[in-house]
Amino acid sequence: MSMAQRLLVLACSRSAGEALAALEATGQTLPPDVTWVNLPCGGSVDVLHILRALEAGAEKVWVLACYEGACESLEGNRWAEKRVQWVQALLQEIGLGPERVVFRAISPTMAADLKAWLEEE
Amino acid sequence: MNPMPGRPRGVIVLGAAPEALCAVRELAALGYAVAWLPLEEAQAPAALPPNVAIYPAAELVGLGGYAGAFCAQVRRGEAIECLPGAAVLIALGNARCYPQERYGLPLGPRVLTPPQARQRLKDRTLEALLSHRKAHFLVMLDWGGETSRETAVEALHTARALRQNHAEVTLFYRDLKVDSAPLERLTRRMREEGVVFCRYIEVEVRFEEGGVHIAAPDGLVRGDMLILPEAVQPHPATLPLAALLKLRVGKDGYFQEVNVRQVRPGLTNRKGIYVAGRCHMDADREAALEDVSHVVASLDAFLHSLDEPPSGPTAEVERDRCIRCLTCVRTCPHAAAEVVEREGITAAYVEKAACWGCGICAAHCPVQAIALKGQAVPSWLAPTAQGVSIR
Repeated sequence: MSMAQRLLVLACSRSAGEALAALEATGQTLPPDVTWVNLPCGGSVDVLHILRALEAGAEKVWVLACYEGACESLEGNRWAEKRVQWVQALLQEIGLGPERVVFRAISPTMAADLKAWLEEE
Repeated sequence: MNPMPGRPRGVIVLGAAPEALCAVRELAALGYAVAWLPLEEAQAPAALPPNVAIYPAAELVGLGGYAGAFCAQVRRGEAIECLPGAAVLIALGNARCYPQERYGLPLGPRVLTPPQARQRLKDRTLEALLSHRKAHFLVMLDWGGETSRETAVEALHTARALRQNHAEVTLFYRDLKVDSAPLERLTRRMREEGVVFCRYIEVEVRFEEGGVHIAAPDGLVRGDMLILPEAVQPHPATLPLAALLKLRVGKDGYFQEVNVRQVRPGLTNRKGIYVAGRCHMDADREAALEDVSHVVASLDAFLHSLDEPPSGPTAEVERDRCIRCLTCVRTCPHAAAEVVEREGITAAYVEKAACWGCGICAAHCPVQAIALKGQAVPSWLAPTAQGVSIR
């Protein structure tokens, strides 16, 4: 298993990916215990991606996608949010904390917010 | 800005709005062969460039193919003809109505719309009113809801024309956005010429003693006629055309543009299909024609990109695992997936030229038969591993 244990980020490359690139352009790097996976769109986040990440030992999984109305594939962000909710319900059912999976809307200009979120975590 | 030599490409233009004519001219000037389907009764312009073919009485019954190789199926009389084109540009324009419910007032001798007022100026039926004494016209914008940009600008022009015919004109407005140089010039000239601009929050309109009275908090204004702008609504062909072409329509009933980052004007949810002008935005005539130029540039850039090798991930179906459930066909926001028979197998197929590589179909596929090619996801995360497939 080749992943950091603390946090896995499944990111829409059109919004979160851009925000990360902006953060990295200022010379900052992700904390070593965070694994970042860029996906083409929030809509390509599969329930199985999230479950596999938890199975692989991630403490938390973030799904970052565009704001409502900002998805270039129209509803990719909504699918991402729905899948997160579905996984949360599943975790609740089996007695794991649903807060281990988080959906967050982000835009390409939110590098500062992204940094703050990562520090908070 | 010229098409590649030796590879003449065609563009299909749909619609009869002024924007369509503008788009046809601009595309023809760039060297594209244009097939223009007005889709409604319209007067053909006198002179069109030689690389434009107009099909006035043609009915569009379908659109086959994908970006770079569309085929508009057109019924002309009995026969169905296929018009090829690398891209499609839609410029339907919008429709007008008098919003009687919003105003609570029917049109009548004392209530006119701006086009009616202009028509009466033209055929001189307002003459008696204008000559026997100083007539006073009250132009009321934003009453019962914001007036659309297009009809508000039309009302401004009408107010100015009335003023130039020596009438007194008071223009009531609540929220007039003067955000372009031509509009700034227009309103400044109107003030100079003596049109009175009056901002209001709440007004009461009464008809008394053969006149119109507008009671605003600042006082009472008496006039002879009330000019109420029309409202715009989506062109009636918008929904049928959207259904035929699998395009998205927004909550407001207009075509939905997917131009999130403001870099690809007019782009719709399908690659190679563009919308221009008032069929997707509220704009006055100048702004609509400006939008056409932006969209034509965007479309031109797209047609040039067809000459380069495709980049970015695209969805690919493992066709012998497909269970033909049509989930991908249903969920693809870009109408790139279909179930077809190829090499003896009937299964889902994602057309590369139409695919945006968003991966929505891959995430939905219940048997993980679709993968994004060119997209690196760590192997320990990939959901296609043993034990999760239900096959």
